[in-house]
Amino acid sequence: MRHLGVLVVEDEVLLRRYTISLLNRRGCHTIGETSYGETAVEMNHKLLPDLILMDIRLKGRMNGIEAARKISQDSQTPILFMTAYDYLEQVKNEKIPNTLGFMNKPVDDIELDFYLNKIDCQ
Amino acid sequence: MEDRIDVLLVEDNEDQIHFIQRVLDRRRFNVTVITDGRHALNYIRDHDLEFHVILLDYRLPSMNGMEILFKIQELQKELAIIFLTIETGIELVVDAMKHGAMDFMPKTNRFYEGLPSMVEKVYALHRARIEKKHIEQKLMESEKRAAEELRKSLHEKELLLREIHHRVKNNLSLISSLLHFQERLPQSETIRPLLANTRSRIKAMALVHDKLYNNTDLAHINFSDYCRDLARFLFQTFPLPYGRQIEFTLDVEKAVLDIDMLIPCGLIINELVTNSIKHAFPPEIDSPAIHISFHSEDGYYFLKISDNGIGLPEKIDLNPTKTLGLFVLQSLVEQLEGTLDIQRNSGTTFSIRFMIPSLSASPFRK
Repeated sequence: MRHLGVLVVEDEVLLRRYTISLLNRRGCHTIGETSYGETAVEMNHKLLPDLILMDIRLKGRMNGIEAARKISQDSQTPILFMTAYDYLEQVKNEKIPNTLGFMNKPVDDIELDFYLNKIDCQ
Repeated sequence: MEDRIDVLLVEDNEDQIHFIQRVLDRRRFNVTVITDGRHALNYIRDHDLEFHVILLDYRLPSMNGMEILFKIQELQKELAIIFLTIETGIELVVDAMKHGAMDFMPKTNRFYEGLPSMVEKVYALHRARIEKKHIEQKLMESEKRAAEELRKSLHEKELLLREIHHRVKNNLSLISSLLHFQERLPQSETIRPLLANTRSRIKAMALVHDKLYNNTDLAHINFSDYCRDLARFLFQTFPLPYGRQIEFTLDVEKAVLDIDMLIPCGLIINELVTNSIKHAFPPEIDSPAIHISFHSEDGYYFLKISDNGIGLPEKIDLNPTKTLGLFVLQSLVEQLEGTLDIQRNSGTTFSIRFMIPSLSASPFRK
C-alpha cells in the first residue's frame, strides 16, 4: 500500500487514537486529526489529504454529514464515513459526492483494509 | 331552503302577538306563544332545546321579563334572548343585556319592520357562539390528551434510559468479573497488573452508569460520592504492601457534569490515583496520602489529584508503548479540551483545567 495522507475526524479522542494506530500500522500517514467539522473543512483545504475518515457525531455546530458535503464542494478528497448503526441509513441517503464507503464503528481491520485497497486501485 | 327558526314569544298583549306573528314569516319562523311570566319560565326551564330564539317582553303577568332573565341566568342556560320593551329608559335595557339578553328592541312604531332581521341576526350569533364554545371545549380536551400522552411517553423514556444505564453497568461489571477470573489464572502471572489496570478502567466507567441510574434525574450524579467510591475500589484493588493504608481526603464542590464529561473525569481520576498508589509510595514514605479536589472558577473546572509521595521523575515518556497510563491521561485531557499541569512539591499534584460548557450545545449532539 502506498503512503496515504489521512485526515481523521472523530470526537472521541481515544477512539480517534485507536483509528490512527490502525492507519499507521498500514503505512498510512495521519496528517491531521480533529473533533470538529469546521476544522475538518479547513484542514482539508490546507493539508490536501488523500483520504478523510469522517465520524457523524462531532463537537461544535457542524456534524459529519454537513462537513462532508462542504468538503465535497471544494475538493475531490475521498471520504470514508465511520458510523454506528443509528446513522448509517441517514448518511447513505445523503448521497454525498466522493463518498468512498461506510464503516461501522469502532473501525475494524478487515473493513479498513478493504477500503484502503479500493483507493490503491483507483 | 334553510331550517326554520323556532321562536318562543313571551307576550301578553293580544295585538302585539298578532302583529309579531304576522311579521315573522311562517316559512322561516315557527312561533310558539306564552302569555304568562311564571308559565314562560317553567316552560323555558324544561324545553330550552326546543327553540332557538326567545322574544321576551318586559311587562308580563305574575313575573316580569327582567325577573325571568335573572332566573334563566341562575339556571346557567345560554339562550338567544331578545328583550322587548315599551319603556324608553336606557337603564332597563342595560340591565337586561347584563343579565343575558343578546339584544333588545324598543316597541316603537317601526318595531315590526326590524324584528325579522334581528331574530335572524341573534340566531346566527347564538349559533356561532355555541359552535365556538364547542370547538374550544374540543381543543381543551385534545390539549389535555396530548399533554397526558406526552407525560406518559416521557415517563416511558425515563424508564428506558434507566434500564439502559442499568444494563450498561451490568455488562461492564460482567467484563470486570471475567477479567478478575483471568487475573487469577496461573498463566496470567506476568500480565496480572495489566489486567487489573483494565479492570479498574472498566470499573470507573461502570460506576458512572451505576450512579446515573440511581439518581432521580438520570443525567447527573453526585460527583463527590463517585470519587469516594472509585478511590475506595482502587485502594482495594491495588493495596500497598505490608498492609499500609493510604489516607484519603476529598474536597469536591457540587457541580452539574453530564456524562460526556463524567466518563473522562472518572477515567482521569482512575489513572492518576492508580499511578500514585503504584509508584508514589515506596516504604520510606511515612504516612501516604491522596487528595482529590474539584472546584469551579471563572468559567473553568479544576480537577486536582495530589499525593505526598516521592514525586514524578523529571522526564516523562508519553509513548504509549512505555507508559500507557500517561498516554491515556493525555488523551482524556484532550477529550475535555482541557490543560494538564504537573507540580512537584512535597509529592505530586496533577491539575486538570477545562471549560464549563455553555448550555447551548449543538442540536446534533446527544
